[in-house]
Amino acid sequence: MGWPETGRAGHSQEATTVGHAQALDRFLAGVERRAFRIARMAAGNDADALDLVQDAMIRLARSYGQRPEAEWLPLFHRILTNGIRDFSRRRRVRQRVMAWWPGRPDDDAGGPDPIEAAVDPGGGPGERLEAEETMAALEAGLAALPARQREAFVLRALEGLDVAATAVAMGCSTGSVKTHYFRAVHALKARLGELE
Amino acid sequence: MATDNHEFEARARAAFDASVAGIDAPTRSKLTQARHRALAEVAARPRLRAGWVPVGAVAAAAVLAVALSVGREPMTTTGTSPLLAAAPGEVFDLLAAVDDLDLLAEDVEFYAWATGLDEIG
Repeated sequence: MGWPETGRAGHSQEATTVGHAQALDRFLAGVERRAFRIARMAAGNDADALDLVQDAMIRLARSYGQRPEAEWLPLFHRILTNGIRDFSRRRRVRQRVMAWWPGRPDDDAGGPDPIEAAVDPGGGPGERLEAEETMAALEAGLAALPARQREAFVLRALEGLDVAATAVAMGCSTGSVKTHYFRAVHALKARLGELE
Repeated sequence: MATDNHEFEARARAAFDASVAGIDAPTRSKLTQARHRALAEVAARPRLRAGWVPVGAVAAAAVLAVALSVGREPMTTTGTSPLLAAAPGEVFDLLAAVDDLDLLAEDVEFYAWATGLDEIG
């Protein structure tokens, strides 16, 4: 008489799994474009940015897909932030190696040009130009910040995470988040003015 | 000053939102494909049993707790931490239950948060 019970339990578990997968799909669909822009600011090109986002999606789904949905956003950003840190480290090492390589091309030595790397924001010609200029200035300003300040500003100001979620995403204390964020805002304002 | 910062943050966020809205159709399509690949890869792999991550997190938090107690609390006359003296079996049972010892080397705070352990006490 145990089979019907097992069958019901199996169906229930399957339905839960399908529902969870759908929820995860909806969550990832909701964050993927913003995550792509964040990754693109760091990587400077679409291909690497797509790889970073896909890797973060896989890691979240594989390791934390069964966690409550409310935890996914800071976890996803922590994974993405770690991925970007690893990517940046690998690129620095590669650039150091290339610096010693005879006859190396110079075009990759200085990293991506944030103005050339900026994405077409759409809209009318005037709005587009203004948005492009503002975003290019912001990207250049962010690129000049220390990594932790840049992460704090991106997560707090651009992604809208609160201090606690930003701390989770950065793997540090809330106090550190406040310090990095405060310094980032002041450095950016000093560089960019009021970002008109 | 706070108002100035809020205005600056709002303008920065508006510029970022505009750049997100301006992502072209081919890139949006690639992102959708990347998401489907990620979910398909995960679906094709055997899922972790529900208890594994929490057990790992509990063990990691236990190690942290032991480390903190050793650092902060006076030793007993036998030289043992009060926590270990009180329940040594439980701590070592937790450690023995960890499937992946690499968990212990990772960020304990992260796993504690992920399992809600940081909300206890």
